[in-house]
Parts: sequence; structure tokens; C-alpha cells
Amino acid sequence: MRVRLEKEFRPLVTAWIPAIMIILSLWVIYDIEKGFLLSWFTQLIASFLMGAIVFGVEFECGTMERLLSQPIERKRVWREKMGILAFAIFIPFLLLSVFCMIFLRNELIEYCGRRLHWPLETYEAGFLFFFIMSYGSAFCAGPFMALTIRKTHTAFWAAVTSTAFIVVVWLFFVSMIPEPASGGKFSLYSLIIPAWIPLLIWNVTTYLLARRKFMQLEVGVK
Amino acid sequence: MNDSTYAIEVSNLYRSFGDTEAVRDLNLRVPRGSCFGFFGRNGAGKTTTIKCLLNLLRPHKGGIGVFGMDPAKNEEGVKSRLTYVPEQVAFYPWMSVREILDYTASFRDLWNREIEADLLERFDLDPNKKVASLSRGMKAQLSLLCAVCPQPDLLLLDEPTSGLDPIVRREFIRTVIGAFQEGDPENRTVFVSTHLIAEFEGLIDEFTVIDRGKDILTLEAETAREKFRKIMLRFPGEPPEIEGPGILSKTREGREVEIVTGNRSDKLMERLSSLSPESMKEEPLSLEEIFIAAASLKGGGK
Repeated sequence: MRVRLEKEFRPLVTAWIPAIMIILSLWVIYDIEKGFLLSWFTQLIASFLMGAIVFGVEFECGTMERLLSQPIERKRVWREKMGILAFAIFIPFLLLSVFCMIFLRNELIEYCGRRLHWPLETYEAGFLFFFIMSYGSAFCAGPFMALTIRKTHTAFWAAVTSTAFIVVVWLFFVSMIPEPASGGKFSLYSLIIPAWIPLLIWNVTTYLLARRKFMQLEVGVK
Repeated sequence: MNDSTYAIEVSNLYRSFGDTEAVRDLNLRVPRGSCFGFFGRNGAGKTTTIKCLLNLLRPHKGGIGVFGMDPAKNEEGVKSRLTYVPEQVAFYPWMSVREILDYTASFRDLWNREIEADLLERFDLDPNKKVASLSRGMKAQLSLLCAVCPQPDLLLLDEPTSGLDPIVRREFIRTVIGAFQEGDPENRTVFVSTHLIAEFEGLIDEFTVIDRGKDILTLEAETAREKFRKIMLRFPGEPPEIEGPGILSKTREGREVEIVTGNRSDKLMERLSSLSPESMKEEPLSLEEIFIAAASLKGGGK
């Protein structure tokens, strides 16, 4: 079991280590606001790459056939791969969040222009959901694209662009709706915040499709 | 546990890729404990059939049974009783030989460390060497090693010698199959798919020849050698025209005629004797020659 988990984790390290190095550099180079935003973005990109790698590596190395000819249920292979991916994506995410909470709380509060307090207000909660959902897209769309395209890098770009496309389209349509209270358009914050809704739908859909694709995967289709 | 007299049973298997019919109405029965040859030219449908056995491809029609189990319904059960050596051997390049062996062993209840050590020594494989630095032949050796050590009931080999040096092929395959069948030959079945038949001469108990996705000949090796014969006739003068049932091919060279028959019978021999040849010799065909002759039958020899 340990050797299998190690095998799953090893290719993800190629995205993980550079991402951590870049994030650390960003904190040194930039100020708090820029550092925070850029490190969130870097970690997100690395997460998409890991999402594509977890299945893409089997196609790239030509080992999917070897993996699926072993006496193990596909459900279990799926669980092991997605478990490792979840760990690889969400542990840095959590560490980054905890780091921000501990060391940058005041700066963040200042940056947001208001004090955070519990319970969170709608836009604060929305921002948090959007934040989590974008990581969720890496977790769900990455494997889906890798299982569909069977090439890691193409799958990575497909996952990133398709997720970005959904957010942009959503924002475009939402921006068409006039804000009843002020009579004008929605502010940038109020536009981004509800974007977690289409992302949630996108994530659930791609996760279910990826799982179905893996369960029915055929190797050696001409 | 389900069980069956046959290690593999395939009935009317059909699988296509778009308009290309890779396998069409294939029938196959592989007795347990046998070394079964699955012969066919490149693109005949051998690999597609094997992938259907492993549930790596799903048949469009027909039934498959491996030890009486359906691979699509009981994937883990089927795969726990077999190992597979694909034509294109692939490993994770960052792993060492030792890590590959441990990784493969992690899927198995049984892993014979004695066989592993023995074959590592015989193949001169360094356990600490990275897979990326291995030659194609060494990767093929490692793949066969991974297939033999779990001591499965069924060993599926898909063109296992294609990556190997021609000089070591035969010796190598005998070592592997010998190590595999050593413990319990009655229950250890080997299914070899290949077009390099000469390497398996003497090892095969029974075989099926597949052509364009369809089985065209299934015979026990001994019966095949009795039926498929090469008859050399020498005539005192111009050889007469020789035609008739059972004659697959004939070659004339001066006063000599060489006939290949796929159904040697006393009647045929009497008929040839009646042509008053100066001399008449016959000898069995090798499996490779039988395969070539059978390929010319195109479904007529079953």
C-alpha cells in the first residue's frame, strides 16, 4: 500500500516543489497584497497541473494498461489516486490559508477594506466559496481532461481554460443584469463572488464524468 | 470461487473500431494446464482479444470466460488469477527495478521471492538500476519477471519476445515458462500470442490460428504435425499435374515436386503413389510452416 501511495505522489511532486519555491519567492519579492494574490494564483495553477498529472502520467508513461491489468478494483484505484490528489492540492491550500490567518490577518483585513467578523457576511462567504471552488476545479476538471485527452499538458491547459471560460461567461451574463439597489452595474466583487455557483456545478459534473470515464476506460482503442 | 475445465473460453467474440472489424466471431477454448499458442499475423486481432480477456477493451458481442468468470463482472477475481505481459512494455521511468518489483508485488497476495532472486540473477538485472536506463530487452525481462513471480494460474503473453535479441529469445522464453510451470504444471496455463512461432516450437500443446479477426484453425500441436505434412516427390521424367483435395500448395523444381497438405491421409498417399514417383519422402511441418499453410486456408481448414 505504501509503495503504491508513494508511486502516486511522486509525479505530483514535480508540480508541488516548484510551486512552493515560487510562493516563497513571491513573499520575499512582493508586498503582502501582491504576494498573497500571486501565491494563491501560483498554487491554483500548480493544482491544475497536479489534477492533470494524476491520470495523465499513466498515459504519458504508457502504464495505464499495466495499472488496469493488476488485480485491484477500479474503484480502489480511483480512491487512491483522488485521495493523493486531494492531499497534494488541499494541504498546501490549507497551509497557505493558515499562514495568512496567523501572520497576515491584519494586512488582509486592511486590504479588504473592512474588518472580518463572524458570522461572515454574504460577500465574504461568497469569496471564500469561490476560492475553494477554484481549487475544486483543479481537483475535478484536471482528471476529467486527462482521462479525455490522455495527454498531461494538453489536459492541463484544457482544464484551466475551460474553468476560466465558465467564470468569464458567467460574469458576462451577470454583468448584464442591472443592480436593483444602486441602479447601476454590479461591482467587481459582487460579480466574482457568485461565480462559485457555476464552478460548483462544473466541479460536480466533471468529477462525476471523470469517475465514469475511468470506470469504463478502455486501453488500446485504435 | 468459480471454476471451469477451461482457463479461457471465448464464444463468438466481436469487437470493432469504427469500421474496422478487429475480431469477428472468434471462438477459443484454452484447456487448463496447457501451453496454448495464439498465432496470427500483425493486425490479425490477437492483442484485441487479449485486451478483451483483461477487460481493457469491452466486446461488442460474444461471451468471455476466464476460469468461468466474466472479466467485465468480476474484474478483480479474474485478474487475481492471471498476469499479463504486454507487447509494449512500459514502467514508471523514475522507479528502480527493486521499486517496480515491490510495486507489482503490492497488488498480489502471493509473490515468490525465490523465483524473483533466481530470475534477477539469471537475467543479470541490477535491482538498484533505474528503469529509464534499461534497454528494451531488459525491460521485457523485467516485465516477464513481474508476471512469473506472483505464480498465477494463467500467464498471458502478448508477443513476449518482440523486444528480445534473436539469439537469446528461445532460451529466455524456455527459462520463463519453465520457471512458471515448475511448481504446478497441471494448473498453470500459458497463453502465448505471437507471430514469431519458431521460438515456441516444442513448448506449445495446442494452438489457434487467427486471421483477420477470425479463428481459422484450432489444433493440438501433435495432431497438427500429423495432419500438416510436406511430401517431396521425385519423378523419372516430367512431373505430372497434381491436384485434389487436401493439397494446400505445391512447388515444382525440375523433376521434383514438393506438396504441402493440411490433411494427410492414406488415401492421399495412395493417390500420390499411383503417379509412380521415383522417390517419395514426407516430413512434418514446423509450427511456423503450419501457421503459414493455415493462413492460406482462409477458413477452410477448421
